[in-house]
Amino acid sequence: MASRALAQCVRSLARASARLNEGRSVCVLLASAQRPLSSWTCSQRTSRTELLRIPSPSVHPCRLYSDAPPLTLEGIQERVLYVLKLYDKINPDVLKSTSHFMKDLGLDSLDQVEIIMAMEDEFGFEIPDGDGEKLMTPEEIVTYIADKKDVYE
Amino acid sequence: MIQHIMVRHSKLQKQVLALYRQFLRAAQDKPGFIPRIRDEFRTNAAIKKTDVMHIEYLYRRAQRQLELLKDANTKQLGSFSKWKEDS
Repeated sequence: MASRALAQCVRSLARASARLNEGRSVCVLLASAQRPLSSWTCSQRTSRTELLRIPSPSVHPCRLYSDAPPLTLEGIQERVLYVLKLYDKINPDVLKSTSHFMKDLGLDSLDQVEIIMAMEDEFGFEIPDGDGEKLMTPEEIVTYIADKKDVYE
Repeated sequence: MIQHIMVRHSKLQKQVLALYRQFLRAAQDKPGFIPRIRDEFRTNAAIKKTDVMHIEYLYRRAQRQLELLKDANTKQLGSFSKWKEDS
């Protein structure tokens, strides 16, 4: 069986490394490999794998999870302005961070709802209606998102 | 109904905007609905704020249409338009 062959290889490697006294990383790899393999192999062999467990107290194997890169205020502002420039009712030349949607850009409340929905899609979280209808400039949107996502500078 | 410098929305205005949002969310995956929704809301935005009967009628009608839209059997929307004769 493949598991038995693997267990054999690991054990031979472990024996070789124990003799040569190699670096901790190899021991860690083997130590972590020993545990699942010892459960696969049949009962007669588990005693032998137990004896070969190499102690490595200082270095622990760790799992690395990936996540999106952390948000920064400039990053949020850039993305907000980018999404607004893509919106067809806004003239990208006139758009600034402080331009009011209704007073400066001439949009109405239906457009403002569409803009807030675009922001929800961009940043991936729900903005409730009560909060959303109060956001009237890109600046306010940036501060709101930074507030919700705990981005401090 | 829609002013240019909006200070505070009335309750009915808030309901209409919430309905608009629900429509846009429901229509995201189904082709052909979004231009129709936007047009319809925009033409009806010209109705006076005082004409509550009309607004409420349209609001109830829209709620029924939203239920139809959300139904899984609704796939897409198309329309016929007249050919422009050149000669």
